[in-house]
Amino acid sequence: MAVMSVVVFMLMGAMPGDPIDLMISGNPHLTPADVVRLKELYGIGRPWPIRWWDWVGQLVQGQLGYSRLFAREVGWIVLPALGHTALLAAAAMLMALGIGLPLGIIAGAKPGSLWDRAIAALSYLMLSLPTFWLGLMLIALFSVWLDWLPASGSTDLLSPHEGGLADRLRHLLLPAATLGVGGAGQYIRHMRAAMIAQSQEPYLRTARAKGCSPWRVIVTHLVRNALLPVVTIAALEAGALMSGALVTETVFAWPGLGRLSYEAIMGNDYNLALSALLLATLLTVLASALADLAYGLLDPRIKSS
Amino acid sequence: MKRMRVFALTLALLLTPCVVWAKDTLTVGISQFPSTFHPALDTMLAKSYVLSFVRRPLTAYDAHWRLVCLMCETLPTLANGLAKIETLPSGKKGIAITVSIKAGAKWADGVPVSSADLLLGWEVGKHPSSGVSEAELYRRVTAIDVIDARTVTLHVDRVSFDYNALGDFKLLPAHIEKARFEADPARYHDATAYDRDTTLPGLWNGPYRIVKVEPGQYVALERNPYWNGTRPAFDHLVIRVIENTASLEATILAGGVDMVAGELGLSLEQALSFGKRHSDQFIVTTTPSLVYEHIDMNLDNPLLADPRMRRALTLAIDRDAICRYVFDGRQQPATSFVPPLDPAFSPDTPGLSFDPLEAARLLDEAGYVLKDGVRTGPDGQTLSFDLLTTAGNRSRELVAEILQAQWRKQGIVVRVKMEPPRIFFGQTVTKRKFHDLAMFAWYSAPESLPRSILRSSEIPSQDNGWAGENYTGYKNPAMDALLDATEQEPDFAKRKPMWQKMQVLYNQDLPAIPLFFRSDAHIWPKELHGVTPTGHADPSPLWVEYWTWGTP
Repeated sequence: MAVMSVVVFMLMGAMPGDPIDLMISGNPHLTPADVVRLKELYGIGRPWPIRWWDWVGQLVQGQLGYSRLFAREVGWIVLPALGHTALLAAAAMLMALGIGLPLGIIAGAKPGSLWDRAIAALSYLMLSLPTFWLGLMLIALFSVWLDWLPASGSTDLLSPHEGGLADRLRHLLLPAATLGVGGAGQYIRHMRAAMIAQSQEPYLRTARAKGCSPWRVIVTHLVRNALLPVVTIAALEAGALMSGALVTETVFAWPGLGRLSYEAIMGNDYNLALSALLLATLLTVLASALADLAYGLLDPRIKSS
Repeated sequence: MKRMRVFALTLALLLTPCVVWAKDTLTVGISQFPSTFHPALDTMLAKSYVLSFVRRPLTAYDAHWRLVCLMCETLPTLANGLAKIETLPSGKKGIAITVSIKAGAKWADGVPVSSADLLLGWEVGKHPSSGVSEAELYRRVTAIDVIDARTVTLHVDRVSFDYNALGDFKLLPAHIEKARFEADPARYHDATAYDRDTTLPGLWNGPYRIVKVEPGQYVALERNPYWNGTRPAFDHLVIRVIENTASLEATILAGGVDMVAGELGLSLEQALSFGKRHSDQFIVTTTPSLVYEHIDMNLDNPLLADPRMRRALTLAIDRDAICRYVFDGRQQPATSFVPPLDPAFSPDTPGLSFDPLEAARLLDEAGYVLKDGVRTGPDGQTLSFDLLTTAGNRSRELVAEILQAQWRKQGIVVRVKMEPPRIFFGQTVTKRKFHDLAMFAWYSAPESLPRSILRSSEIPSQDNGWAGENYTGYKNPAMDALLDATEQEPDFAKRKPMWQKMQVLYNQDLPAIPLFFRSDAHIWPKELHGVTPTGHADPSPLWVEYWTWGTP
């Protein structure tokens, strides 16, 4: 995390232009004296290592600093955004797994069948749909044409149901589907491949020889073992979902961490960008730890070792 | 039973318009969230737009581009005696402006708006550590005499033509902000209640007050109970931020927002296309604005230092065709840097009409002859330029492509290069890192003197901390003298010929190529009435109390 913070600081410092430069371009009344005064006031122009050190000092005291873009404490901005992104990523992941795993199992159970080919075509379609386009199409269909779901935001503003579970779920469905579709396509491919690879293993022949039903062979033996590599993919995917939610969050005006990080980097808001990126890193690490726990549950040999 | 049904049906029909009238929440969609809610810190359009619902400036330019009083009783002028030329102790001329705050004006916690608020605005504005961006405006005021609880006289250290445009002089609620400012002026920009406690009613004096803020998402407003002007029609107002304009378009169709602000909404071509598809539900209005789209030429480049080259580049492009084909004729081709709606506009300025023959003659004269479709100079070098502009702005990209094709017809090779706005505005333009041509826009107020753009002292450099906006490096003592004289002339009748001379000189020297004046595209439902787009920096919600909801 410390290395990550240094890298982020260094990269942001290397980006051309600072907030006062941008302010000058939009305001003809700023005098040279104003420029010098404002740069000094906001600490712009000091070398990045000094700024990084100041930031570390603040962090040690439990402060994430002040966001220049939103004129608030960073914690006030970043924590709700983190919650929104975590919710969106979790929903997208559930949707992706919920669609991807069963279809991957069906395809992998009978490779070369009509079902397999149809599911393969579907998975390719899911993988190749651009997120931005898919999001807009879902909005056009479910929000504009059918009027079933809201087009953007995370709650119904000023409505009596604002912030309720049903309200949140209604707003969550389309972004989660948009973010989850690509993942579902991936899980189909990985699950299918793992199923086919595992189906050649001798333990399955033993199970069949012992008189297990085909259903039991698939569910109890094949799927459980085929899930192991998919869990690795899911753990990696969790990190990608956190950082890759930017496009979905932009299309649906979802107030999440991806969009916030982008705005902070583009707006040269060091404190906010650092906190947002480090939180995203932390979540990815946590997702990896969860994946390790899942390994233990799926494979008792890992747990005992 | 049948009678009952008829009665019920009639009642339902009668009630239908009432339901339309009873809408109590209006949701406005914009594409940017304000970086602060403090009126004097930072300058950005999103902030001006949101604050125009909840604050009233002393003066503003209205939809007819006339200066009017909003928070003052009478507009101070030399004619009505509320502005008086005075001699300063240094012997220079200054001006004393007496202004009275509107009777009955109150902050939304019931405290009257007073002279103390104006004084605090001045104290904060001129303090070197307060973080106010436009401090110069406040420092020009050398003293303020408090006449009574609502009246003050401002003593300004110079006479300028726009002496009574007091919109940028911000009033701050002394009963809330004074203690925060005096505690530590250097930390005031972090400590202000405008950002720490945005929903405090006493911060707002407009028809609405802010009741909820979700950073990056929305700002919710409700009626200010102490507003003493026309009662606004809506109990609540929500300003939703949807940065992606395609999503914004989808959201208005899905009913997530009622209207899209022209000041910060869809691009013109998006709005026109939207209007064609949904004219049954929505009104799409285009308003010519003060946004001047142009191409700056770097006059340090020896090629562009030659006035014949600049004129040839200008005459080789057909602005009318660009406006007709790309913008459906809804943008106004520019004939100088002053828009036709501006009182300072001079229709007598010699035009810069499309003249390919004259352009060819000038290029020949400059030594660049046409050979195999390409102009080459005396040293055999191809005549070529880089045109830099912002990436991600579809209209601008289209215009750049057309310009490239039009110049190509003259044998001039132009390479279009796009840069992200933060790099383009944060460095390329502001630090004069473009070698040839840079296409972008200026946003100004009516009769806004282009001092920072055209005066030779305003060329950004390392020495002046890259301040000033004369990015072309234009230097002409005649223009400098005109700018100085115009700024100090309070009589518009005398100023008008000066403006004309400035426009003529600009078109002769051509430090930049005028393209067009942008139009704002406003979208609102047919049931919404009374919205009057202004086209300038004082946005339409400054008159939100006249917005009503009714049958189309």
